[in-house]
Amino acid sequence: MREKSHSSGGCERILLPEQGDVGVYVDSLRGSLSLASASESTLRYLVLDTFDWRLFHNNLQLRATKSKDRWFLELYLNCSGTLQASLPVSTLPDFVTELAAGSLSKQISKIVVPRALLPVLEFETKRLSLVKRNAEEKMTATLNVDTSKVRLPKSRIWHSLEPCLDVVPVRGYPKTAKQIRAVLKRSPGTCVSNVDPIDRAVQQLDLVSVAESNSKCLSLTSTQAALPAIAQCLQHLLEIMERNEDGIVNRIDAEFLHDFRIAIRRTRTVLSQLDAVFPGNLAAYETKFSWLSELTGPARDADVLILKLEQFRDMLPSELHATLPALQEFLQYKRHAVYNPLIEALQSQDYKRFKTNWRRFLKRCLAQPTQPSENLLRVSQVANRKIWKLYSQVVNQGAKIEKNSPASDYHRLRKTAKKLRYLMEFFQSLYSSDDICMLIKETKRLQDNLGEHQDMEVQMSSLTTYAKELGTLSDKSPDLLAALERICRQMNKRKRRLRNKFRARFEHFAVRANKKQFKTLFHKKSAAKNSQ
Amino acid sequence: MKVLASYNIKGGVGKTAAAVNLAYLAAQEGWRTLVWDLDPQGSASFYFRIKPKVKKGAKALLKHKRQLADAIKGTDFERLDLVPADFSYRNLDLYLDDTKNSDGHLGELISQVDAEYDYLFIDCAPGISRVSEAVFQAADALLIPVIPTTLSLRTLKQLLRFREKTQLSELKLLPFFSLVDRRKTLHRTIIENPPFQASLWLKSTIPYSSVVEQMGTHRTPLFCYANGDNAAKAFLSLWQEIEQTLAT
Repeated sequence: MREKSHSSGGCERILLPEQGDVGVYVDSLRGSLSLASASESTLRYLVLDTFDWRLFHNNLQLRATKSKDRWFLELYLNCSGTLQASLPVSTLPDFVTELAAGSLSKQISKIVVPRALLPVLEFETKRLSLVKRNAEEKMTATLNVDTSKVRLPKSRIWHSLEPCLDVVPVRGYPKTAKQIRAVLKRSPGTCVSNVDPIDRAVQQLDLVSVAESNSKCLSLTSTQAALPAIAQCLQHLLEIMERNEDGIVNRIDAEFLHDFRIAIRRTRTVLSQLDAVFPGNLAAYETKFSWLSELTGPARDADVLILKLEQFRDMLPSELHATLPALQEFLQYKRHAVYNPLIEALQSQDYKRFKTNWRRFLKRCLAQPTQPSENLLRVSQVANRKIWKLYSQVVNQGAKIEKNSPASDYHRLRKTAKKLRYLMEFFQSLYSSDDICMLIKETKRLQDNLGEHQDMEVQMSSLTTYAKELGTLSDKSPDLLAALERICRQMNKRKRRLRNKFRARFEHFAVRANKKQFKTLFHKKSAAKNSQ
Repeated sequence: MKVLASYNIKGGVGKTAAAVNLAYLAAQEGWRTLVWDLDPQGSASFYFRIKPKVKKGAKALLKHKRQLADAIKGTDFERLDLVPADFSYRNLDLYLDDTKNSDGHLGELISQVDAEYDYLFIDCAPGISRVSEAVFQAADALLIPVIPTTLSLRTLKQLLRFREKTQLSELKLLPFFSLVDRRKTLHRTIIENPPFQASLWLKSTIPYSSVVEQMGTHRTPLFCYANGDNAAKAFLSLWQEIEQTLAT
């Protein structure tokens, strides 16, 4: 029995005429194109991707096909259908790190890590394959007639996709496929589609919003009234929180909590910086968001330590590498302990009530007139005022920091810089994209230095506490304690290097050109004065 | 990409059948697999119904006037491609002599397709020549079909000596008994008491079988027309053993 070639197809797929019988149409093609033996098969595969569809956004598709007692993982370039890598595995991986080192893991690691791989779609394709052979009876092209249906992995409902023809050339024999395509394009009723079945499925199942990145900004206009515009953004942040809850509760990967926390932080920034815009007292909501922030902090710190295990390996001499599995086990135990109260809180009635109240509040804000009146501020006025104020604070706080300043000074500046970045990202759509992106980038560069410094502080503190705890155990491992001490020493060195680099980084941020740009965008009065 | 060369100084031992059938199994298992038919006789190309012709010949490949990837042809099987034979391969020795770093040159060519494939099976011509030495440099392991006869064992001994002399100790040699006819006392005796070190040999043996010979009439790997036959089972067992050996 002949099988189908895997060789790369083109982008083009041909959609069959809407009217008429597929079988009759295919029979007519068989005759007119002199296509030889046909085979029928059913392909069933899962599409694996991250929760936020990172592979899809990078134009890749990871298929998992079950065959007897194992799975074939195949990485395709979307649209062209070119096979990039394949790997047989005994079980579906939860994380890329579980795959054997090789082409597949190399190609997707950078895109996917640290997210888990989840089945995001299930396809079932009935395929009728017709082949074109040369004088040697060698296959030179395949014409696949695909009738596909697709469903979400936990759903029972299948969605049918339009039948399509896919001409697959065999490598080294490009002419045959070209000829077949030309005939098909001329055939009445057919139309050429450049859309891959996964794109069609994403559209048909309305997964576009799911496939969008969490950080996608909402579009605001400068003349909008501030309150409903800000409420709209806060509602978007609430949706992000809710979208990530299941992933936290089911402990799928660390990114769910990370995104959840960022949404909380952004919300808290808005509540603290833009409180004057809102009617009434926000204290109750601020308290709750602060509670959530405190609750998620230890869990995120525990996640980060586990994600850093590979970096810890690089910090240790090879004779201490053997301690890493024990360290991993201990960190996982610690993570488990801090996740439990968090999960309990996320499933509590108290949290559900809080979200209901918060949603109602936002709904009331959204119901306010969208056009600003005399009493209502325009969104751009609010944004300019607050961003400029935060920028000034960053510059003042940063100027006072010296190499030996306490860590709390660095942390305070980090928090202010973060608020500044969040507000700029929040109101990004109000400004010229190039200008604001440049300033966000500059702020982020400063933040990277401050953020890493703070991470070192937190991680050293955690590891020192853990070392003390492990030191009291009767079956303590001297090697593990030595490893922790060594990691802390390396982190301290890194912290010193970051402090040494801070001044240059800050001066780069506070440079005159950046100040001018901040002024032009956010401090309209003085910018106008200067230009007169 | 792992490079496995099906090789023996002696001809007619089942090199091509091994390369074609093992490559088919690798591809079936999910690995992106390439066969390079380096034997000017072009038997592997014939089995896959592919014309034994490389545009502008071996010289163009060696002189980098053509990329190896441009010479690749798809077979009728998923994930399995072939670089066809070409009659000009008979002059490969001369071309290699003309190039600098002749021993490493084949490896350089192969590295052009390193990212595209997980396995490369080279079907070598019999004999020991400059081309063979270049193959030894490029390969991770030699798959050596050996008929359990005196003359066939003698050529294996020659190869073992050659490896010792040329400091190719890192090259894995994976000899296995091929075309085994258990009705013959000599075959049985040799298999039961394999010469050299017993640990040198793969345990799987390929029987003498008419279905393997029929590959020439069917022009396709054995599994496509005699999947349940003992010879097919033997190749499957051999492939599993090779994979295990390579993993250790």
